[in-house]
Amino acid sequence: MKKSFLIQFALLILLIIFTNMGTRSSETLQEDELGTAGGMRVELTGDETVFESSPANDNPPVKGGTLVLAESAEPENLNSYTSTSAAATRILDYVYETLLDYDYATWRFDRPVVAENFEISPDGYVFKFKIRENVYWHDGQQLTADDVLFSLKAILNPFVDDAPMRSSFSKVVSAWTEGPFIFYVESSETYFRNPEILGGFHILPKHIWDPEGLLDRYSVEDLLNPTVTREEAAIKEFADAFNVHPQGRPVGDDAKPIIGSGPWLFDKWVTGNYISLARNDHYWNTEAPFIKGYSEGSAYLDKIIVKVISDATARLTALKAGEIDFIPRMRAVQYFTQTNTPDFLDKFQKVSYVVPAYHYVGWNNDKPYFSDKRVRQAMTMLIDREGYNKYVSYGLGIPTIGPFYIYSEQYNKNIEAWPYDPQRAVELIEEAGWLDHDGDGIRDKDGVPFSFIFSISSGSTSSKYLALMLKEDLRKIGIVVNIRQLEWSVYVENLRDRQFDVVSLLWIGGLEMDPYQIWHSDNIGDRGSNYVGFRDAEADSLIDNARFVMDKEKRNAMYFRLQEILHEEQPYTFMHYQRDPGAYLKQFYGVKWIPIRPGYKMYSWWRSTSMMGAGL
Amino acid sequence: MWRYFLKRILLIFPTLFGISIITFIIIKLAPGDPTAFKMGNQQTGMSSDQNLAKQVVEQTREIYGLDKPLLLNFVIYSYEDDWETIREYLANDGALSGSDYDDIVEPLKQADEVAVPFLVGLLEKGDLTDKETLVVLEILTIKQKLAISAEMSIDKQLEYITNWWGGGTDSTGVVRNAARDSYQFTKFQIFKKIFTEAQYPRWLVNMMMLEFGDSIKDNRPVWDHIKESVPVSLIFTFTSFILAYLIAIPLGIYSATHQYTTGDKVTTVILFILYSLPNFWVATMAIVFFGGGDFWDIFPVTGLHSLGAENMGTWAYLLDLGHHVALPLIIWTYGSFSALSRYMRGSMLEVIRQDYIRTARAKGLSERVVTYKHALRNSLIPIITMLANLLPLAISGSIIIESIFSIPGMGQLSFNAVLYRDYPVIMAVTTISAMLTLSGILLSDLMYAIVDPRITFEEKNNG
Amino acid sequence: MAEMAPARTYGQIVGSQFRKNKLAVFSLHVIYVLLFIFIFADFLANDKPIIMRYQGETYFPVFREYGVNWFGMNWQDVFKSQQFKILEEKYEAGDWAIYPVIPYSSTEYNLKVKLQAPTMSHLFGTDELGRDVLSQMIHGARVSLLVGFVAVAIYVFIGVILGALAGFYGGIIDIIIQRLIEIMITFPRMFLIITIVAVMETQSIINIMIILGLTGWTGVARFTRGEFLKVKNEDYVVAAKALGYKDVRTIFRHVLPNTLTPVLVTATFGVAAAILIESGLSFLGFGAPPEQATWGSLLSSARDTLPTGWWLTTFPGLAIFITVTVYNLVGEGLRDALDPRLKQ
Repeated sequence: MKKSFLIQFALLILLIIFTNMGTRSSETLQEDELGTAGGMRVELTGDETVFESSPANDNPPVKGGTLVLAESAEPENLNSYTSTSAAATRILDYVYETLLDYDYATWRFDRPVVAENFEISPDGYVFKFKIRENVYWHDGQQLTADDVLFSLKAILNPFVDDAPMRSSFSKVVSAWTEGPFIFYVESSETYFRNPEILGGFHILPKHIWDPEGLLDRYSVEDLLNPTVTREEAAIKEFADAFNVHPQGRPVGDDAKPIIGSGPWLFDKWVTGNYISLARNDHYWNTEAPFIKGYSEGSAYLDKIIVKVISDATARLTALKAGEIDFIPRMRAVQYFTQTNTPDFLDKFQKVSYVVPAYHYVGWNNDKPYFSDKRVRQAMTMLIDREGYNKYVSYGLGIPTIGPFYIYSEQYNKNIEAWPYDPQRAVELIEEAGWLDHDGDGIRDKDGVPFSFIFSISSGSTSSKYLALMLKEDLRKIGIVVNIRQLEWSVYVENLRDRQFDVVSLLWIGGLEMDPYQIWHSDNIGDRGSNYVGFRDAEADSLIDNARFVMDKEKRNAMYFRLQEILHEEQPYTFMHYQRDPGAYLKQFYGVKWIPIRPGYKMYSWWRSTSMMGAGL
Repeated sequence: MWRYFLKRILLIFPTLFGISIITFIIIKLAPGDPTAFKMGNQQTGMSSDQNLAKQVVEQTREIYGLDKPLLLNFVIYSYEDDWETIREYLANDGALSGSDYDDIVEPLKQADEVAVPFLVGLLEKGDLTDKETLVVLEILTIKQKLAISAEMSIDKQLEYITNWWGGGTDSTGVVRNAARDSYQFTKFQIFKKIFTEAQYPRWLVNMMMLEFGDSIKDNRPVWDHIKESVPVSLIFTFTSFILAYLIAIPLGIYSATHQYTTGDKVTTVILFILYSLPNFWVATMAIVFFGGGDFWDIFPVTGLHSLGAENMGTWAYLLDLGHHVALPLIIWTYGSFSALSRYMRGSMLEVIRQDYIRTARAKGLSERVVTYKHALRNSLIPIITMLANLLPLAISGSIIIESIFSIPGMGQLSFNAVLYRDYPVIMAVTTISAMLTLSGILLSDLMYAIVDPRITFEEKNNG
Repeated sequence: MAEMAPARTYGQIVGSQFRKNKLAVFSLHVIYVLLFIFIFADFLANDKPIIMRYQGETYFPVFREYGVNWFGMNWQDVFKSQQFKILEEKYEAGDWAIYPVIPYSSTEYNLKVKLQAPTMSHLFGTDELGRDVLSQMIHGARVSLLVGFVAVAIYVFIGVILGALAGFYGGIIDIIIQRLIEIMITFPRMFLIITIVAVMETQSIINIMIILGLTGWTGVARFTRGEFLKVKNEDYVVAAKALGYKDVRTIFRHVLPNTLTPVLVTATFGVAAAILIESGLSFLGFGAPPEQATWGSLLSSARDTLPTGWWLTTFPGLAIFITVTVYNLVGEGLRDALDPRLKQ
């Protein structure tokens, strides 16, 4: 009896192992193969400003076809101002338009979109936008300067739930229109990012969002005046309606579509399932090229369907099964180990593309362990960034020495990264006075043991691995690392209250960044994002002054100096700029990758019909 | 008996009250708040050009009433004492930031409008230290949304406040009313604020009225979310419930009537094995092997419908739904067989040993008749009462299975609500689930009493 | 009962009944193996030698580790860095070390051997950081079992006490405790656990145990209450009351022992359930802290590597499944053995 049980048991285990091993024997990747795993790596160096991953096709682009792509999360809503998720922006960017946008050839923020042209007054304070006279909303109404003014007012309305966005508009003092097609906005400072802020917001149709004209009675100055906003009930009334406006949440079959002016129309949102966009056949912009250096026509795809698949395994399976055509972001381990079969490579194109987001380890400069810059330098030298990048990130990271985007003109290429040098690091730590005085195996100084907490946010696998590696490595040199995994909402709260020793996070930036928010000592404490408490008088003055230097060369020279300071001080250990791994069906052409978020735009994509079924 | 049930119904209210307090406390004790997600998330990171300052956070909290006192708003009477506490704190070289500081300034911020005349009075008197002035300015700026910021010089800020408070002509030439006038409150108005400007009273009232308001995450009414998610979860919970009964009960009867045979043992082991397989493991395997990845393409693995399902005919639509539902449903159900069939087996065994069954056997009735006519009927009684569990099932989902298969049901809704600290949704889910469970319990007792007349509640409860 | 079989005690009867159930006995043996792993995990999988001879002296590093962790001892100066494997290069003649069967600790990583399929050096393969999966599973067994035992101990304790009070006294106490039970069961359990875990700022398995304990007691309480209602009016209890014994004494000396045996069965099933719930929590990221290997966290972090990384999910999955199954089978065996009607 007993024996037969044992045999049954063994059989069962064998059975399960066999089903797991599957029909195909799996080979592990050799080290030198890790580089690409059969995919393309987007490199934007030299003159190349856009990277095309699809092969040249002799046929001209054709209209038609559907693209189904998978995202991990649904946007919380589609109200351009109150939503804060990247998922919402990625969709709304196709539906709404802005006054200006990036020029895809020079990557400056000066390509007129809804604006025909713009002028900055000689003193640099007033922006004058001439609105095009041929722009129409999806419902046929004409887009005018009134809409632009209305949009700005909605952003500035203190009761609208857009505080994070509104904070970048704090320099606006006034705005007005002149006739139906001229829009002025005045800033209190000649800030170098003004074009990006004042010309970069989505324009909403006033006749949809404020048909009664509640905001007409108030000027921008009124909205900035708390006495007025407190007394005038209409302002709050508008905001309350705005926050819950059905345009921001068009769910269900009977919902009215979002009215924008962009090349795609909002089609449908089935909660928890998908959001779909359809091509706007009456799009105003028939000029060719639509975006110079990027797309000839405005939009080729008939439909873009954004499907929500929360589970990464299910996402990849759905791609393989043909349920979706494109995964913009997959897990590195999937990209490098689960998608290497000839079948897959035959059918799909894998691409790893750069996004302006960098991974860093932030040391709380006010904690006894990290107040000395020698310790911070030592910490940087203790982290095997190269090994981490190579093995944990599969080589997807691009090493960085500072906060600026590696593809921007702000990035200082002359600084050499700190080496991985544990021995030198230990010397520095001992130089700083951290020795094992009491002989308990843990270094200490002034009675404080060198034992700190590494906070990571749950769900971040890469931070988890980094923390585990660091814990194991530092244990050997007498430093105790405790890992604390926190939920995002708690993590952010601790960050704000500066209740942490070490954090590991991702900052998302843009092509041109203003370091004020993160590096100025003004922003330590309650007011900004300088969570690690970095203070340096020279850095402060550089940051302050550079904001108002309009000459790019001069400004960047100042930022180069700032990076030298940051490099020396190491308030963060700058890890890597990120490369997102993705894969799409090889039926798509005109697939191009750009250095701004999210790394791709559908304007140039088209689906070949003649190739239909070729790779299947 | 009816008196007993009346009592039971009345006792629901203290239970609900207890539930409201427990959920409220758990939620409020939880560190972290909903504004965190306005600042990015762990996958995509935080946006470096967004200002994540306290002021931004507080404004957002205010929109959702999270800045108010928890139980009752008595700070409106104590602001003068609170100010003294702040002065003491500052006199002891307290820092102007950090959580200690926040805690100490909190009451004055909560007093909001009521304390404004007092604070402005302090400024007007002009005998404050620099630090004290800074604190007063901060409180006024944040709560009254003044257009000044700490970046401006103190003089400039003070000047602004004087103009704002006293009224006058502003730079554009428009005459503004003095803010002073709008900060006068009658005693009754202030008294009312004790209840209206506190979080728990609002919570309790809303809970009793089933008014859950709007979700913090997306500003949609909570009811809309629930209306969307309940049908989705119902497909699974209901079908799985029926499946479990259809399969487990015959198995249980078989086990009981064939006690100690090989068949009984094999069933037992198989059911336990099913129970022991962690569902997320099985779900992952199922996706990889049956989802059309590198192996068999049998089932779709995401969501409930194919794209464009809404244009299908009724049959095609249902077929499509069934195709999508099959895999998650199997995984949802397989673990529940064991408990149910064990329960059935136990209940059946008990009945079989009763005297009347022995009598029936002794009378020479065939085993079949004894088993299926007499024993089965009675042993089903406890099982039938379990039907009352159907009620709370309506609102429960499975967090794990729903998130793996991208099913937008109640499990995902409540899980995300907890992560997001979406208080209105949490409140709705707990309240509704509490009410349904309580009614379920009551119903099951009632059914028990009706089916089995031997039960008297008076004795059970008082004896 | 005693009169019917004077030669055998109750325990002996139960024991012999239990032994008749071969499956349960086999499962019990599997549990012994698990307990062995539970106790000797550090000696089975560790990167430190059990015994070593170094520069003329004999050391016991694994024992020393206990001393360092629990009794405030320190590492010898030669071992300060605790890198015993690197030390091997410095070995001179006469130096040797005996390592545990699996010479890797659960946290020791080696990026160069990451994601390797099972080989002779890594029997169950390695994970994404190149940690040995078998070693992690052996140390994970500790967590999983401990969570099961402690959580169940807590809830049985709470449940029995509250159930006993409610059943014995009735009246207002009963009403209050019944309301408490109702309040507990009206919360969806997973939801409640996740909320409480979220409230706790630090992550630790102790929290998980306490939470599982605090949320799981209702079943036991209702059961105990029912048993108490049944036995309350039986002769021996009435007699004890008539003799003027204090309530507490009556409860604990006379009534409780009779209700405890069925509770034991519930507890055995409870351990199995707790292990499953812990693995589910780990899957959702609410389980043990990251440096603590548990079967659930191993499984969940390995999902992305399927199907090529089959060893990462197969072994921990099997471990959970085997453990839960054997606990259930033992519980089932116990239940049958305890059933008084079987002795006909």
